[in-house]
Amino acid sequence: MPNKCPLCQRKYSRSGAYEKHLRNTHAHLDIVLASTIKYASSPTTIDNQGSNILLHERHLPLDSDYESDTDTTEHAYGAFADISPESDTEILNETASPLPSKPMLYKGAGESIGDVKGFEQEQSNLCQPPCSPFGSAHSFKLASWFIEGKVPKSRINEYFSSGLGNTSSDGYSSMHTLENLLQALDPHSAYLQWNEGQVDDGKQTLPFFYCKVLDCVRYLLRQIAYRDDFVYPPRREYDTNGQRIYAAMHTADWWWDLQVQPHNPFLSKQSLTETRRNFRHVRHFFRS
Amino acid sequence: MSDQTHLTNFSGDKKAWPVYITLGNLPSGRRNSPTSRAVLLLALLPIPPKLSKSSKADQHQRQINADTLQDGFALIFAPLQDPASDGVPIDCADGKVQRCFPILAVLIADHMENVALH
Repeated sequence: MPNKCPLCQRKYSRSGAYEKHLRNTHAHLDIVLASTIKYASSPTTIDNQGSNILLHERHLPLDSDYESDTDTTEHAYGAFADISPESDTEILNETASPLPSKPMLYKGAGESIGDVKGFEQEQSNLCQPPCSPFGSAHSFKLASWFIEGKVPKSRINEYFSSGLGNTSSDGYSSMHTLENLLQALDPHSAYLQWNEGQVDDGKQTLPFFYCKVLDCVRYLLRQIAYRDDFVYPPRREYDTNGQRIYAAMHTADWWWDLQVQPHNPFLSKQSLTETRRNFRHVRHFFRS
Repeated sequence: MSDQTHLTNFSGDKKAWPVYITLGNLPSGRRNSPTSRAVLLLALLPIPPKLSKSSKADQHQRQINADTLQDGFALIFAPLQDPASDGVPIDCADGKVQRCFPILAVLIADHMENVALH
């Protein structure tokens, strides 16, 4: 069935030629086509300082006789289909191909600036007996039973004061000492301290409770359980045809654009302003 | 993520308004897994009393409550303002210190909370 352009009444029997007509003749209308991503801009150059990425649109073929034109799209694809699969990830550099078929990382993003003090000691502590800091498996199971059974603190204290507990082997003899051991289980629990804030609604002052948001970020980033899952640099992923894949959050454009900035390799005030504009609902959080 | 949560039915109709936080650095499969515990309770917001929809005085109070909610969020997220632009070194799980720029990327809330935040 022929496609009829609603803008200029031209008819096309092939969808490819019709798309090409829309893309070239009516480019000013910003029509979003299913195959637009084939022609989407891709990072092509990076300056020597590694701090500036210039995004260029590929030069599109001129719109001439439409139906008689050869399909240059396939030719363009063929030019990038021969990327050697030397590695799973390509670091973006000056010779990056316009349509890569493998993931791209921004050079220098996600690199560390130092080592964590005492990390070796922390790792060695993991080799301690699994019941540590509890003295025995029995005391650990008893504490688990208290916690998972949601036994009130007063009843736990009663348990020990009545002589039911064997304090010599358990290592704790009250809720207070048990809490100290529980805090020692999580070495980073100090990050999660609760604070009390107050807001005034005009009639009364309302209290509310919160943790420091930056400490919550520190706590989560410090968890060894997520060590193999953390992703620090932005990433652009492509399938074998060079089409962009949007999967996880770090593969989106906004992360890349926010991290890769002209004057600051990580972030600039200008990008923050852009972020505030895009996320209008959070503008209040950034007001100064 | 934030949402009002109904706690009790017949003992005062208690409600809580928890706000949770997680990291975008974790892949969604890991982040959204209930057993990963990658979501932390960030705050418990104050809940304003119920107001009628017809009274003009209550409509005025509703706007005041929305401003109060915004003040609460501003207080919670104010510490992110400078690190988001200047960066802050943070110890990471791999034993390395990363220069991080923590920003509030997404706020998940229901429609009425979005209305109150605008």
